[in-house]
Amino acid sequence: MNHLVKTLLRLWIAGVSTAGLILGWVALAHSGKPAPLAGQAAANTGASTAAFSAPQLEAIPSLDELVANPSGGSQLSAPIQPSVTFNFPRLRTMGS
Amino acid sequence: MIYDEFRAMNTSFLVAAEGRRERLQVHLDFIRTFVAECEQRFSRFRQDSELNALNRSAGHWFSASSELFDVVWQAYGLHQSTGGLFDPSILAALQAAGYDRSMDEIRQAGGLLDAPTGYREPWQRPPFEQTRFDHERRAIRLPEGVRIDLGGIAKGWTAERAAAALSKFTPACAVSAGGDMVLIGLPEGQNAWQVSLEDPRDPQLTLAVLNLPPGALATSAVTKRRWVQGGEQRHHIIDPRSGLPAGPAWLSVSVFTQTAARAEGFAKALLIGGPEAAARMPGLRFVAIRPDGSLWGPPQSKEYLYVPEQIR
Repeated sequence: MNHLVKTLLRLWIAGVSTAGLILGWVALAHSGKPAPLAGQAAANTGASTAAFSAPQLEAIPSLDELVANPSGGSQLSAPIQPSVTFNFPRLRTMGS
Repeated sequence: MIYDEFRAMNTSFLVAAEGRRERLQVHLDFIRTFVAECEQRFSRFRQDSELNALNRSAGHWFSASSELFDVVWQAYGLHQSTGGLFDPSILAALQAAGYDRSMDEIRQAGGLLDAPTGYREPWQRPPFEQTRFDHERRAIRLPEGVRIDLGGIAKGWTAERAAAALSKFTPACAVSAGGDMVLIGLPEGQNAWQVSLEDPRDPQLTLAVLNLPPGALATSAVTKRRWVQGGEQRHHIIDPRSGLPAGPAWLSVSVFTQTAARAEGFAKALLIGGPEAAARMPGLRFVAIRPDGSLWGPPQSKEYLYVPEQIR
């Protein structure tokens, strides 16, 4: 194989590799991997964990909005109290 | 971890075990049967229970089953260890306060009971320490006029025996009788059992998580079993010194120790005796909850306590 062909081949391999790296980086940067809840991470590890930004999600109605303007189903008579997200252990002591 | 939950002894039982349900189901079923037998034996609400037969025999020797003998003997030892603050011979006072029927029945009546009629006898009875035991014949002699309630200690004993039986078939298990529990082994992949500490002011809330090694945990509280008698607030923690519901400094006390009976006895004693009693029991690991929801306890309890960020 002559020198010119080898050079062109090397340039082509380098170009494809570079393009692949760039495309891969772009894909990872926009993969939408969910971020843990800072509070939940701290609860699980006992150490504080800084939250990092999550990708933009579509706006969802608040609980108050759902109560005021139900889309089908029965009208709720009282606001819903948000539940605690931490998964407390099922074993529980309370004095019986 | 698999779970089995059922109601018995007027409380909720929760059994947890590592392993596959199809392999452990037969043992879980056995535990339900065993607990039902214990309820029949130790309940003061069943006229034909062995406990009631013992109470009717006060002043005379009573041939007891090995189970009843063991529980009463442990209660006797705890009575000594707690300086009398743990005293099972408060049955008459419990009934006088209105707890003469099961808590389920009291709750069905809306927790409202009529005031007692007739003259209230002064609170006095022969000391429980006059109880005598014949280990060879496995017999018990309660002092004349003394009747006992085994309540929490019987639940703890039952949980302990059930857990010991189950542990032959699983590397780790826990049996909770209304929140008094025995922990054997460790959950897979974890270095401690995690137990929620309920807020005695609101059962929907959790104040902390306890990270515990194998052992036993019992909680005594003045808020769980409450009712109104003749317009006056009552609860089931009777101060044996007065014969009346205790007016404690704390709403609840949780004790962690080696056996369920000890945990139950000391939890009750600390709830009745408060900080003064705690000062006489150094080395005991406990967490007390004050009326404002704050936690109180000795330094050695801190290693077991974890308060998640969400509830700080």
